[in-house]
Amino acid sequence: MRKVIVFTNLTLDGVMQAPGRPDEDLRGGFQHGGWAAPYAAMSHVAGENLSNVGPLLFGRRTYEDFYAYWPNQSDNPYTEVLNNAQKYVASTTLKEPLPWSNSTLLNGKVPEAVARLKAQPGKDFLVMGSGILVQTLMKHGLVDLYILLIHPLVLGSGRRLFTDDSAFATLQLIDTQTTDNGVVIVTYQPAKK
Amino acid sequence: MRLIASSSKRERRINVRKVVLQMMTTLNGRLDDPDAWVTDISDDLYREIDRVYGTFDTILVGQTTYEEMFAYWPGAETEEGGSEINKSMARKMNSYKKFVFSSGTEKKALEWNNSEQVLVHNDKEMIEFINDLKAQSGGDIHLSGGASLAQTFIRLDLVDEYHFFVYPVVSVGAAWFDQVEDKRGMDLLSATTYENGVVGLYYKPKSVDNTVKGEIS
Repeated sequence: MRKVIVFTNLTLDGVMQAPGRPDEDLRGGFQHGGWAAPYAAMSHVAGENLSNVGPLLFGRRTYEDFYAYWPNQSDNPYTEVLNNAQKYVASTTLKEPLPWSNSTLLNGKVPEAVARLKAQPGKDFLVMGSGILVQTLMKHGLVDLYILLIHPLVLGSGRRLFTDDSAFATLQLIDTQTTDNGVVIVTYQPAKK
Repeated sequence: MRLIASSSKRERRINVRKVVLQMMTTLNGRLDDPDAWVTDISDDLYREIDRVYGTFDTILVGQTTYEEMFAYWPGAETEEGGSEINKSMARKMNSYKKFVFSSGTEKKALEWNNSEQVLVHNDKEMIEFINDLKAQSGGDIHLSGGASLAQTFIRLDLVDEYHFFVYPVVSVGAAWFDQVEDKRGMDLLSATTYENGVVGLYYKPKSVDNTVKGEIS
């Protein structure tokens, strides 16, 4: 079975909103956009957990944000990877065809669509950002791996990965790494029942 | 006060005693109702907790936490069948100076050995009390809870070092930083993995400068 890997930058108070850029996500009057950028921790994440990653799963908002930004950047290793990757988007408002290359909408209800995709042969799915989609996937037991990059700061506001209606869940720690500037990268999988 | 030798011969640093918040928590930073999510305490984690408790000589608690602790620790020191490490913890708990915060108007005598009620009615009084306490000589100070006292200390930036033992659990409830409204940076002091899947994260707020620098003539 293909895995769904949730890959998220977090603060110590659990905020995941707008890690990369000041104008990335201003919802709720969020003023701290770009908080993760100085730590550059994403480049430290490597290794076997990500070696089989293929398609990307997106919530509508993160998809549009990535599309507005990445295809227009040059001189970085990510633009080509993101352009070429197969992208699945959860949205009730977007219509096909989607503008970005190799993008399709998830067909029908999101949990069922993701469960169907996981059952097909192929590489693992990666989810970046996409908070509401992650909530849905967690609720339906569809996440197989969490890679959390815990940054050494508290913001006091912003959208969080785990919300007040997150279900109780027990995880199993797989790996812990630390970057020189204090980001702790923890990897968990759901505990075996 | 402890004197820590500095690499420079001309400079000395006097370490002021620290207020340490050391608590178990969840992946989403929960601090209340630990019975719901603390599955077990592995031996290596217990040894680390015992080691850190050896650096304290004072603890700070709210009234409810005081009563819970008083109901347990005096008997635990001689409890039949109790583990050595638990008895060692009990000896520390019973001998620590215990300051118990109350918003009452009349100071009451407390029963537990070496415990004293502190009447605090607002943020200013709290800050003054802690500054006075830190100015006295002694070991480090453990902020022991409960939840609302911890949140008050965090909000007022009175914590000098955070020790979080993060259980591999998502369980939503009152969280450490719920009352913080401003951006605060931290320095990671260490990250340690324990046998039961707990990750111990030690941080120092960037706002803390606990050292008093002075020239040695």
